[in-house]
Amino acid sequence: MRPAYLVALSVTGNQEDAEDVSQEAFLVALKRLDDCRNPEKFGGWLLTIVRNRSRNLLRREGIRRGEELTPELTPGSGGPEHDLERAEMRDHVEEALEGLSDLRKEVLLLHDLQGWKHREIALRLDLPEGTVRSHLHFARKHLRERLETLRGQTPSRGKR
Amino acid sequence: MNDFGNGDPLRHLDPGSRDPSFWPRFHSRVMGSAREELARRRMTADVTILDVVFAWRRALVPMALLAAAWAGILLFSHDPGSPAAPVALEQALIEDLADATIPVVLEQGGEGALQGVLLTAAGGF
Repeated sequence: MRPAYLVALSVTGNQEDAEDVSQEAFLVALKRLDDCRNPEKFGGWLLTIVRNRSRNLLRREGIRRGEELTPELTPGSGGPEHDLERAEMRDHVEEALEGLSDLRKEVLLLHDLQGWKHREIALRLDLPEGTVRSHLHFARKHLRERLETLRGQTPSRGKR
Repeated sequence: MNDFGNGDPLRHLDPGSRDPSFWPRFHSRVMGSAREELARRRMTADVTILDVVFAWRRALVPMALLAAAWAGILLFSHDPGSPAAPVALEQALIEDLADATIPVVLEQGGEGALQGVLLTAAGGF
């Protein structure tokens, strides 16, 4: 469920949309299960459905990536200041990811957040392992540089 | 990914990092919405041939009995003593041969044969 969410997030750039899309995609996959000819590739097949539905959502609603209206602020144990800080950091990361291709975002999130190995990602995304390594390298580099730039700037909460 | 100097920034994208119950709740929500479809698939997968026959027993059993009764009626209503069909066949064969046989015999057997045929024909008919 989490990989599906992360793939949806990498395309939509919006957490609520990612939740909805990954849920819908799971239901669609379940209804079309007979179309999945190779059960071993179910994971990759599900991610393809998630990716397509995420793109359809963007096309349908004309949402620009990362243009979330109100960041969801779930009260945490650290108090309001901590919550605000976390939301700000999340905005920074989302902003830093902008400019990366969906594929590189997917590879980055699946590797660094989901914990998948290069080989696993290669298998699920139907890519050569070397390509996965390359995408991961460039995605990390992009994220690092963008975060450094953003840290040097004023907090960008006003952008939303 | 802990090489960005400030921990792992990507963890902020994981809703589970600020709400540990997020993923269990999300999983329950998805499974809840898929409940009907899952039940349907489970039922479809479990159906056997015996189940299908059992489900159709109300229609199948009377139909089978009716078919058996009809077959029995057809079988025993037939009268084996009636010679109508064989006789008709023999007669048809004789009628066809009556005119055509004589010239053929004439050509092949000569006058002696002709007389024999004529005598046989006169005696037989």
